[in-house]
Amino acid sequence: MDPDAQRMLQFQRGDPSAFEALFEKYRRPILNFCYRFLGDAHEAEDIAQETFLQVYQAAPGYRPLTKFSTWLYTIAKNRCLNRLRSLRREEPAALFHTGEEEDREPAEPAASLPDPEQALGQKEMTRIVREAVANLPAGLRLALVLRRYHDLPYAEIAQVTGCSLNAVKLRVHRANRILARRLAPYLAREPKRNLE
Amino acid sequence: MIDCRQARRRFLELLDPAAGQEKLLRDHLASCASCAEEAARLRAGWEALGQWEGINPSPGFERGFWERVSRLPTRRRASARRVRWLAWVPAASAAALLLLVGGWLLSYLPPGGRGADRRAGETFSLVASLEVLEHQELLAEMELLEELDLLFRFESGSETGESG
Repeated sequence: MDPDAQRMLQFQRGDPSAFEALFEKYRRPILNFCYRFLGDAHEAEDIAQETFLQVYQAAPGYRPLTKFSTWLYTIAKNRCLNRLRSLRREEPAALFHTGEEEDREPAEPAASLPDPEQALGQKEMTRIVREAVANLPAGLRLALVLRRYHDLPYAEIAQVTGCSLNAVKLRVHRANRILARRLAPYLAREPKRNLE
Repeated sequence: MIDCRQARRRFLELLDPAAGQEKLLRDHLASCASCAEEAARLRAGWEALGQWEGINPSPGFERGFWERVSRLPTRRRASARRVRWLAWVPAASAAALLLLVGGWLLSYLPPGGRGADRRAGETFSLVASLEVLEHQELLAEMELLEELDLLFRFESGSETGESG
């Protein structure tokens, strides 16, 4: 059985150290998943805490039907989507796209991206990448973040997102194609090491 | 061999080997400059994503989480073991209800019927009692009672000068 699921069952049987071990292992990945999906570190911390709180509360009824990480990322994803929806109701321009625009490819790069002619430092390039990811539709962003930054297998991403395996591959591919187009003007000026 | 259209649909395999087998794709790129250029552009985008590094939890992240746990209602904070014991409550209630209903039904039987169905009534009570006995808490209590009984016997034996 998945060792993390075993830890969760240990916690269910009353061993608090098992939950602490899971919290220690996953707090940074979940925080960063929320951060890259929401685009805001403060919101990400809040959602990551809510995710672990939900896991804590769900312990008595926990059944290891899927890998623990799949279950955990699914909770985090749902929390993020709920937050995006509520923020969008309050302030339409808040944070990242919510996903209603799912499969449309934005025609133009984000207006906030700097002029490619300007010299770019590392920090500026990071900001450009972040902005480019931020402007992806939520469905594409979710698949891309889970694959590129969290190295989740495609089958697991399919479970987290509720899509078919082929749909996940297509989403990652489309996300990358959009990003490559947006980043191309800046990458042309980057040192060659980034292209290898 | 694959053509350009097929190759472009499979570019992800080149960037991310987990997506599939890339051998056919590599063969195509070796012979198609246009696709090779497009693949290089996609690879550059994929690699550039690595420049967005992750963040570390703030110093107050863990403390904040445990504070939120401490604000949960007590019953939610109960340890998993205690919560599991609570799961026996419905079973115990059902068994008690079964006993009550059984007793009530027996009390309404006509006097003649009582004699005729006495054996069945006893069987019913025995089954109901066994269901109650299945409840671990009651079993534990019975074990405790037995221990008390043994202790009592031992003490009374000591007083009367009996041994073991």
